[in-house]
Amino acid sequence: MKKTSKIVGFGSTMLVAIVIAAILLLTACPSAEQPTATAPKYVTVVGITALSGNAAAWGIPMSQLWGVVCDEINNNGGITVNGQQYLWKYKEYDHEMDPSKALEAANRAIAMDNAISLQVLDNDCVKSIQAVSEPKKVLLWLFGTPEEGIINTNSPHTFAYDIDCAVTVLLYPWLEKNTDVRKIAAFEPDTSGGHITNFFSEWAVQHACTEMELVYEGVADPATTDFYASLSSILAKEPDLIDVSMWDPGINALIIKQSRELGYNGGFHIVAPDFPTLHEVAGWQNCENVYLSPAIIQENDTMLKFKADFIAKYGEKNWIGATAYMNYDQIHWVTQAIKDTQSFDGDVIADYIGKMTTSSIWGSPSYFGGVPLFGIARIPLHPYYGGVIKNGEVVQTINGEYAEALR
Amino acid sequence: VEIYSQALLNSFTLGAMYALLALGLTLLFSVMGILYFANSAMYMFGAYITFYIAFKLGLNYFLAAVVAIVVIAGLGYLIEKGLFKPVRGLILQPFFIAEGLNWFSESFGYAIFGTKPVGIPDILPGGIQIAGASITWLRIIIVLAGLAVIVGLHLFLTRTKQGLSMRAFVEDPVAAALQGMSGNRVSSMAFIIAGGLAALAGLLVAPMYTLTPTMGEHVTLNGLLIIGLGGMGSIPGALIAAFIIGFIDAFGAVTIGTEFTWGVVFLFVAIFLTIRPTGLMSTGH
Repeated sequence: MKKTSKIVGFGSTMLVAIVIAAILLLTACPSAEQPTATAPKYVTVVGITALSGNAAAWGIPMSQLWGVVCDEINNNGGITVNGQQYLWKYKEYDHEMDPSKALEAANRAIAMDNAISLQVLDNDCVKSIQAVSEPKKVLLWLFGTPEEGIINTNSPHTFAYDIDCAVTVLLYPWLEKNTDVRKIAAFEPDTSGGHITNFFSEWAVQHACTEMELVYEGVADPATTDFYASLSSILAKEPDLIDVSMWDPGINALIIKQSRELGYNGGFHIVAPDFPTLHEVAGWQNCENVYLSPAIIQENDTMLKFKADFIAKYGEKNWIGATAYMNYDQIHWVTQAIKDTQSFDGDVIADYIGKMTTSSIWGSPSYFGGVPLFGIARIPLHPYYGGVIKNGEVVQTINGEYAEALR
Repeated sequence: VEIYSQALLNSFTLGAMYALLALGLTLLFSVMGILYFANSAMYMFGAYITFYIAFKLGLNYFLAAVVAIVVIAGLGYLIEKGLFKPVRGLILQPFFIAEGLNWFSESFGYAIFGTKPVGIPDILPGGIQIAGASITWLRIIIVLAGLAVIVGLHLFLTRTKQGLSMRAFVEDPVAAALQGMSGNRVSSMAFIIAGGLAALAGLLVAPMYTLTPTMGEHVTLNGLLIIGLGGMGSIPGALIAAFIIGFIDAFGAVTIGTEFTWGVVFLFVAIFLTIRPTGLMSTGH
């Protein structure tokens, strides 16, 4: 008995010790619910853009910007879905502005990289990719000009990146109300984006204005550098403003410079102004009456941080000015949608983004419109800022307005 | 009337520019039978080198231009020795090498010079009015320089020993070799001159536009049109062809619209070559 008692006594002590040790061990281990318990997993966002060829001047910095956005989200903890931490993995492909190469890249991105979101430069490339992205329910962001062939109810996973050329629905009424500008010349590159931009100029004159007149509507080869011939035709129509919003910043600046050489003193409208290029190429003295969309007089903290992060990684020479901010929001919106829905399902995320009210680098709130033109809310609307160069200074014109006509 | 006088002035500057840009290509095609796509890259590098020396190092623009021409001419020599000499006489390989070199140069340009277009400060501001039309001093200089270079090249090919030896080599390489003319030397000379001409075109034209790694993209295509219309290998033919294309370009823009003009240019050259396959002034090769 005694022996037995002793054994029993020893056993009780051991049992208590084991229980305490087990409790200590369990409390020392993080819960399975906590994301730090397991290694983060990766979800892939793929940029398919022009990394070589003529459009690489746009494509390379765009891709770099998307990578910086992913870094920022990852540094802030990434995305947690059902307790598991996910980080963005950014991968880029070169489509050389060739739709067939874009499709090949998209196939690889979806099949091999398991991409859940694609960011793609150029309308034609987006159109070719939709053939695979829509059936696979992969999100597709168009960095181009929204058109009915791309943004429509049959393509619910495809979104435009910004209002872009549709900003004319804000600018032209503002000009009509506040200036003497009445005659507009729309002159864009001979690309699908250029033609659609001209369509938006025409649409804005007809639907958002009462006294405006479109006196010239034309296009030119996107690789043109000498605009004397085109400008001779345009200036003969005596426009008050030439809308050249779809040309890239270097070409915009060239058009401004050459038109001043030909004696034109009227206004211009450019989208995504790049001030160093305007200074260097157009000459700042030639930039009077140039209307800028968007125009940022005072960058906010989010913009300044984004700019600083980019410059720290890639240097100042690749910073593309205000255009850079147009590349900021999309991956953030996808991130928010995944977090809010706790789902990676393309249908769920796309539907949620189309309906959500969120924020933007430009301000809050931000939501999606486009129903009047495309039948589906896939164009991001947020506070919009425009400006004009007067006496060498950028003066605010459109101040935080929304392109409600698109809603 | 003003719009047409402006178009006429535009056609002169465009013609001179097209001629200037096509010269190196014409020379290499006539002497070596090579469609030298890398001419676009030489044009681009010539402009960038001038810009960096003149505006970053602060050297006089014209001195910088001389340095750029010498550097690019030297580069032409090295390219010939390293890449084209081993495949001389072959047909497809030089074509692929030239195209590969062009692609590589563009990407190299992006890596070195960045993606942003670079503007060159106005080296000759101002201009004049002629019959209600405007032209800048820089454009006038380009027209004059273009004509001077074309005449100079023509005189070099027809009046100097080196130029005549190049032409003899073009006429009959075997007979020229028997006369003691070196094929290696003629080939090197052609690449050196073509490089120098491309650099000259780049540094003259660039101040009107912007510097970008793809600034030479259309140079080769325009050059091919001019070679075809002017007659394979004919310098005077190239000059006339350049001005005809400049005329169609300028007047097409004010009549049928810019978007249709180049379609008309290509169609015109195709129809002309169907009627007269040897071009305006063929050398018979």
